[in-house]
Amino acid sequence: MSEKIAEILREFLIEERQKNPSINETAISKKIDIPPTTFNRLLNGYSKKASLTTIIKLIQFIPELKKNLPEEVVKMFEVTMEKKTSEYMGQMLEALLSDKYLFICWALAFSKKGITEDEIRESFGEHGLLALETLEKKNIVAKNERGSYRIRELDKKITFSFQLIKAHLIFLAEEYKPGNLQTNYIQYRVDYLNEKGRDQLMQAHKEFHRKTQRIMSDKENKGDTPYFSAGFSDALLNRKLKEVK
Amino acid sequence: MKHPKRYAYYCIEFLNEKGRKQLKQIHKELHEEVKKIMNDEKYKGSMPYFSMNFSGTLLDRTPKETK
Repeated sequence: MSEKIAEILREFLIEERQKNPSINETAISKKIDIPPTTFNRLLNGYSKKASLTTIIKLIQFIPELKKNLPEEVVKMFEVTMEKKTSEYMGQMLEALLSDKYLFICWALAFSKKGITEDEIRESFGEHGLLALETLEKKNIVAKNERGSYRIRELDKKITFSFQLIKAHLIFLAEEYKPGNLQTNYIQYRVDYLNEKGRDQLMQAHKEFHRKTQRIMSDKENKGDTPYFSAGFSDALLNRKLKEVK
Repeated sequence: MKHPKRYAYYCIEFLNEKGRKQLKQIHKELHEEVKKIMNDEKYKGSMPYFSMNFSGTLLDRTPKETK
């Protein structure tokens, strides 16, 4: 795999040099927006695996790379970058999961424990029960011998588009306000930052996301209560940094 | 058109009390880190950025709120 990526990058380098003989590896890596050392390691086949961020950046410049990536990675790229969630998940599932109650029931049924009708009724009332019924009718969830509803195809990987994630984040933020519950935790801050500050902020969220995943995947932390953890960071004004300089 | 970077995520899992405490702790840590970044003079600029993080249990609501 790393050798194939190296081969494609070398071909790309040759093509770029044909267009502009003075261009070097550093300039190309800058154009792709990856560190020159990363580009160099990939070019020479020293990197056994590239991060998803690097792959996404490379694909944007070298579509040829797509043909040599695992199908899952390509689908993830398409969903993330081209907002084709419906194509990947199926229009029916995407439409269903756009509804907040259906999404919550679906997410709860994804766990090993599953979800019971009583739990749904207690927290989401008739809306929740109706959502659960819809998921069962569509053959997405099934009731097991313990009376819990679980997803039928647990091994199926789902990738959400940024658009869908945003919609659900808004829903979670609206529904789980700190005023509703003492156990909830919510923090919100806004400030004017430069590019370095922005990068620090993104890094802090990235690190936090990793920690969340570590806690949630730790067997010692598994229990009976479904918890969610969410975060997002963005510019309030959707403008280029250059434009405000 | 290249937009400013953004980051969004959410995770859902069944946890015990130990997991809940750890989750709450890292949320507090993120908040402290964000506060430090936003208060640091060297990071001040002209683009307004926001940071939001929240956690809770999906089932911990009273039936009244769902009506």
